[in-house]
Amino acid sequence: MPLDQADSFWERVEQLFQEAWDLEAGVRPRFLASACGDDERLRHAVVDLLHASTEAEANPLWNEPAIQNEARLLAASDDATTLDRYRLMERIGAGGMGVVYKAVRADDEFSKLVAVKIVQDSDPAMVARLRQERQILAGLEHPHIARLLDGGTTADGRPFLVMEFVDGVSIDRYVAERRPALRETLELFRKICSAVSYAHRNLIVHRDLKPGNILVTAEGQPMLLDFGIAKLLDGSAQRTGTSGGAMTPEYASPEQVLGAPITTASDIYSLGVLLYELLSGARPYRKSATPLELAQSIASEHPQALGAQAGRRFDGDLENIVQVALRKEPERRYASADLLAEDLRLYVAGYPVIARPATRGYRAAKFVGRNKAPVAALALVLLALLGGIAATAWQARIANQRFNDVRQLAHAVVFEYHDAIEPLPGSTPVRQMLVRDALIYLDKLSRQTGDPSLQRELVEAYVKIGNVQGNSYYSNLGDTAGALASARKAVGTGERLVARDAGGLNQRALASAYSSEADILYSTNDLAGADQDYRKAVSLAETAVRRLPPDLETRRQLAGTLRNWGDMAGAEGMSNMGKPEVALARYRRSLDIANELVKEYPGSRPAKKDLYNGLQALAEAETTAGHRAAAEQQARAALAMIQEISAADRGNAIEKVEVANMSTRLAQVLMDNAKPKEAVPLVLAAVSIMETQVQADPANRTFRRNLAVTELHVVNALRKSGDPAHALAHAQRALVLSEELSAADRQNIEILSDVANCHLKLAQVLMDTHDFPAALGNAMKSMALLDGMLARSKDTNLTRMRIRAALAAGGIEMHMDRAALALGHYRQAGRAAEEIVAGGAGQVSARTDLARSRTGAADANQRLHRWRDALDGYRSARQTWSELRGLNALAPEDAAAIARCDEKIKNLERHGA
Amino acid sequence: MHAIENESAAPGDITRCLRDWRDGDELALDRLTAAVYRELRRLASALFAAESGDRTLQPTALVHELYLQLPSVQHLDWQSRAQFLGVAARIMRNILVDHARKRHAAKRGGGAVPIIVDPLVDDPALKSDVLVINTALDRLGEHYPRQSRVVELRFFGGLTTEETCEVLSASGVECSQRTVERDWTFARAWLQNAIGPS
Repeated sequence: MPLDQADSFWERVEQLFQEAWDLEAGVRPRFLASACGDDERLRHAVVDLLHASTEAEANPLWNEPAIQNEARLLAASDDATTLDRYRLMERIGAGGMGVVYKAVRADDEFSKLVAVKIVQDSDPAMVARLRQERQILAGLEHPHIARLLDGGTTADGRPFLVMEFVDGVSIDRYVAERRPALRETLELFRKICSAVSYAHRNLIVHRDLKPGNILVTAEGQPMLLDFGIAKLLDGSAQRTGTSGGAMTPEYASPEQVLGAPITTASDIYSLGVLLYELLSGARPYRKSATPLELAQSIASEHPQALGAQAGRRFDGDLENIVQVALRKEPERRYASADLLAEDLRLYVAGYPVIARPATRGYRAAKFVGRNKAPVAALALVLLALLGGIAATAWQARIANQRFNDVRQLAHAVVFEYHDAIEPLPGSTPVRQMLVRDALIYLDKLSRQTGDPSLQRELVEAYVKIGNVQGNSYYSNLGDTAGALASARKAVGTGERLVARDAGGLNQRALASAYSSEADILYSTNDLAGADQDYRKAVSLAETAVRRLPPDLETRRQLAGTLRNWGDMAGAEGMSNMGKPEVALARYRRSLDIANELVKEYPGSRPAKKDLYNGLQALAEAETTAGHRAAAEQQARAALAMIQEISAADRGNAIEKVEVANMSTRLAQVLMDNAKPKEAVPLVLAAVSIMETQVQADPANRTFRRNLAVTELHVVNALRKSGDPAHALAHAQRALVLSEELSAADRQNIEILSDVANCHLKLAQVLMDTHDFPAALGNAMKSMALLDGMLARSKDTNLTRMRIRAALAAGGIEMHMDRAALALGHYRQAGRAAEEIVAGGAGQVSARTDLARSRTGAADANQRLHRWRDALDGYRSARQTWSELRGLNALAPEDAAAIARCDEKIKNLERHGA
Repeated sequence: MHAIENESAAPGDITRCLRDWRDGDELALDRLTAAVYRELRRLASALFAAESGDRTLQPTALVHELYLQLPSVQHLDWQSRAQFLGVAARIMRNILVDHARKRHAAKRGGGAVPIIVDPLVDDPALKSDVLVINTALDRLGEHYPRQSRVVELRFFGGLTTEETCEVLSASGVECSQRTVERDWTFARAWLQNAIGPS
């Protein structure tokens, strides 16, 4: 058809459509029939259009702009697809950066449900975010963090990630619906803290902690989700330390709303809001009309009291915990999520919490009559300092990898704050956390550099954590195996350091590592290994002292190592190698150094303490060597010194314990010097101090062990003062304590030997009270335990204890008129004692044992009418007794032993034996 | 919607481009398109995300204000503004068509990790797809250029009846709001007929 005709055709179509469309539908056919005439093509065209127009009216497509439909199609196309190996099932969430689908692995016969998160648009910023989330999640493996399973990229270049599907309800709903008991809610919350803390240790800040991101499963396990705006703190990709406004305002911290740098403390704040909400069902601030008002409240208003909106009252401690987490200043909040969790644990367990405005009445209320106020104050100072460290540290990482800053802070944690709180009751778990966190920083840093000073700090950090874990010379957590592992890391790092550069500082660090490892080996009764390490430690420290300019630290370290090494050579009451003269020599060297240092540094408390340690160790050694007058003199001097040190610092637990220990030691010396009635008040005072410490720090095993051992000293003093009834009660208590400790740490041979010792004391006390069957049972139990230990490792102290148990058993059998059995025990004891004396050890104690064994055997032989053997026995016993008298070392209770032997010998000779 | 402040075209540039274009310089339209494309693309992305995510947002309202939120536009005179809206609507049409093409490419599985369309799921949306409408609109334009333009402005550009009328008037087409309504009804019927029943 010609062009103008064509144009007129289309014009006609439009014109007729418009006219017909304005008519009622019913009259349109008649109108078109008349208007089109016989032009069927025209009529059909218009009829089709009218039909289509009706359809179009009903089609929502035309009611909105194309962009809306396109956006919907985009979403629908994702809904209906299979992505990689995952079939997307339903959309379960959408946020600023992506959509999350519930999905199932298409090739998985078990139809394991997963969650798939996809970026909505290929905006480079969004893509980068999701990739970062993937990177963050890949490094996280925690029971309360939803795990990353897989990841990939869609055809059009959008990354997606596949996570564990958590079937649960948000934590606020869970708590509102289930109404768990307070204790359970707090337990739930502490699990979240552990997940957050874990993320922080991996240098990740979540930044969006809120109920919607924490689901609780049917099993009641909370799971932390959505690290979508989390930040990798040491990531080089970080453009800025501020939030970028992506967070959820209700849970945002003041620094987030103010656009200030975000640190781990921001997550602590959000945890505070969460805890507030879980406890009270409300948020910490008044309802705000606009986000801006809310932001202003967060930045400037004091949070309302926990129960204010719910109209109920909460316990003051709980209120304080929440308020500390919600503090405006990041550095004044809990320094870590672990500390927050730990404080809640303390609260649940009924202990004093860390969170506390520093008022004086508080501690008094918790611990009536005890002087604990400085503890609260110190703990708060510590928290403030640590918060500052964490904040500065993170920021430093973000800035220019200025790791010197971080290092200084980690150094401060290990060397200053750790030492500052070490004496505080209840501080053991906190110390472990501090050192462990600092160790993580140092570890990360040390991998980036070969800087020797950093490596040295790493050595010291490993030493410290090992000591906290299980060095018996420090307040520790009783984890001997963990302690040994840490000490070995310290030695390994130190050895590499010295291999590269054998300078004085490196040698000193390695010496410290060996010394710590030796201490721990010593407590596992690996005397040979410990001896080797002590020898290396002393040799290295001596070289370091020569090479370095004169200072306090290096020589103190040497003095300490010498002292511990001396303990191992021949300390009374501990496992030792049976060489008292070697011990004496080492103690004297140690004491000489201490005296030197106190003169050079008269104001130094550590030097004074070294001097005290030297005095007391020497007092012990003098006792062992039989120098009783000297021993009493040194012991009195030592007690006076430690009392002076402790009086100057009344919050210091270690010093109080030391006062108790020294009182016990002096009591021992007094008993040896026939003054048992002077000894009793000293040991009872010691028990009272030990009880205080145990109550203040129930997790501290060293304190418990000290209490048990001190109780045994009370038993001795009471026995010797002629009060067996009271002695029995104390012995029973010691046994209960020791058995509890032993059940919890079976590797620790010292504690097992405590148990054996308790049975021995019980046997002796029961003998005093003439309960012979019970006494015999305890003696047998003691011997069985000791035989087991001695089969694994020879040890003089254990052998001596075994001898005394046999002596007790012999005495009991004699009382029960079973002289043949008694004779067996006495002979066994005598043979073991002879061995020790022949080996040159135990000048006094082993000889005393030998004399008693021989006397006992002679008594038994006489009872059995074996006159000849009895006579020989008394004669050899008399000789040993007189040797002891020659050493001026005859125990008071044995004063009459020689006269008795003489009389027996005279009688037997008279009867012609 | 905050991001656009950084890289938007200066009002002077837009005015000059529009004048040059009016004076018959076809290349001026390309320049203008290049200047505005990025902002519109970003706004459109925000809308796509909004549709998929936050359903409380009103895309209709957003589309309507989309062009006018460009700060440079606020300084244009009445006639330039109308011309600009016309150009913007055309750009928007291009953006949507590009987007739909990518979406289809993705479904066909052009990349390393293909998205496979589940064969069990029919795709009813395909018939009302932007690509199909775009082709049909080109054919409509062969016989009904003004009606086709109305669809471009209203449907792809998201303009109101009044704005559509302004744009047409500014480009020398005599029209009223009633004309726009009638054109829209006719074009809509024509396109519906072309793409078939929904």
